[in-house]
Amino acid sequence: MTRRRKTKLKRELIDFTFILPALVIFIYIIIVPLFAGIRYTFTDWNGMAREIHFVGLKNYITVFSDQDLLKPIRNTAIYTVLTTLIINVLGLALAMMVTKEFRGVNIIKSIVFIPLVVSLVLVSYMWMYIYSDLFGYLGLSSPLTKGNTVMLGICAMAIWKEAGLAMMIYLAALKNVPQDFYEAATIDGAGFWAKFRNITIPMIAPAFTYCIPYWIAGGLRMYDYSYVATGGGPNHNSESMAYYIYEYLFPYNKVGYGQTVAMIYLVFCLILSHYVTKALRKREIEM
Amino acid sequence: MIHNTRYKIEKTIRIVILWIVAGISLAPFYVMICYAFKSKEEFTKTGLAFPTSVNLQNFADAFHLKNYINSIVNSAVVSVFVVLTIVICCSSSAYIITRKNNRFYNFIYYFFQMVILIPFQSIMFPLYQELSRAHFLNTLFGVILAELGVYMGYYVFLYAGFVKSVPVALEEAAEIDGCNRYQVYRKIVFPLLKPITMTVIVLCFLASWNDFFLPLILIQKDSMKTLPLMQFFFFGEYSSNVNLAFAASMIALIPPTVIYFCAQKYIVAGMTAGAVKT
Repeated sequence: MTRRRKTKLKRELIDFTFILPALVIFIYIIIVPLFAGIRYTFTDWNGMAREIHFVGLKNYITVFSDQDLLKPIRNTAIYTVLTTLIINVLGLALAMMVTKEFRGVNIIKSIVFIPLVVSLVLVSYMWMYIYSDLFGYLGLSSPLTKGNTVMLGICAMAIWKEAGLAMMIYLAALKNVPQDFYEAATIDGAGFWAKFRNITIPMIAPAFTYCIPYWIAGGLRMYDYSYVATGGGPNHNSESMAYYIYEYLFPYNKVGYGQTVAMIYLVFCLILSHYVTKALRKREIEM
Repeated sequence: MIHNTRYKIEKTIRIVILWIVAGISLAPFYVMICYAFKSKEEFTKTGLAFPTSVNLQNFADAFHLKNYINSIVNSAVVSVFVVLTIVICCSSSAYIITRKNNRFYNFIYYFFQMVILIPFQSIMFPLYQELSRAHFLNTLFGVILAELGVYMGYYVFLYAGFVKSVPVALEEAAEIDGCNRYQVYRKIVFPLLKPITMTVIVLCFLASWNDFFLPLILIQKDSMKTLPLMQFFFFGEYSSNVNLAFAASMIALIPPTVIYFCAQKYIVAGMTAGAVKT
């Protein structure tokens, strides 16, 4: 009996080694800092000083009366909603257009995907010069220089870069839909929209539960465009939440306050992620 | 007959739209090429007109930029280590999570998944402090470690979706033949994961090669900087001669483009069986 238990324990340990390296790195890089961050929120630490003053809940009270937060919240919301919506709609539309074979279809697929290999830094610079040079020829001013168009200018960069990835994922999903479903529907006299609503959408539902959270999460932590293309300007009109937090933690040296904003933002994202993860897992049970 | 002409018109419109989209996808590259292949003087004269002569001076000069070659090597080292570790650790984790499917492993999986949706900014300062105390700042090892932690959840998730589609029967047969878990994994499961592994290699390499944020906070020393940091520095430093900066950036596009084209045919296959299967 004890011998059997011993071999069983040994097998469990061997199984555990499969996940051990990932788990160790994960705990060291994600979990430990996650909890270490909490105590900074009760201080006015600047990130360097040896002594740390505890200020109780002062930071939390400041956050809820911080008028400067309104713009980053608005900008992040605009960016997340616009990019998630347009990238997914465009990606699905393109995927549906390239499912039918024709000459050059593979070239088009490759071309539409290719912006994904460009770094966000280079994307920002390419588009800065498009906005200044190409728009200049057309007599237009760069959208990045005006407060009310700057977020649209940034969204355009993101859509250009990532629509190809969405296309690839939806294309993969569409390939799983059996063709006879469409044929049967055509015989029954169903038009394009009826087939789209009743066959395509339900059949590719897993792709939605994959893509939508992916781009929401990407939108919520958008940082690079704000930093590289506009520096948060003009007049804070392109500051994202992630950029706002970064500014307090590093250049401004206000770690206590920055970390408080970061933790509250984290809780917000966790609540959102709870519902998203639930949707993901629900789908897995069905598999 | 009418149906047939209508179908033809629809098809033509579809193809025209697709080529317009492809044109928009390529337009920004055209702007980059114009800058990279023209000297500063030529650019002020001809602007975005098609480059009439092939001028490689900018590319030659790019290699003489301080720390440029260093940054290519740094990026290559980081990306290769990150991709290899992610492939090994995430495929084995996803395998054991899926096959055990008990509370303990699902609990871990739940945490992995949640991190996909957490904003990195909320752990960034404590992580910076932690790595600073361990003297990992300004080292490639620190960047590799941080990227691994941040990326891991997503790739375990991608792998887990695919492992579910791999039949267990083969593994059971191998176990009866006396293979232990390691052998089963190495000889049977891992080879079957090839499509998703190719997808992961492409996506992970792109993420790591292009990552700007982690190196930005973890590396201050110029000789340790990775390519995106260098690009940022070049465009700031040579704002009067962006032609040079664009040429330097264009060279940096070669490795990810090559990897993408080599693995292209696997991407849809990996996604099909992995992330989006019903």
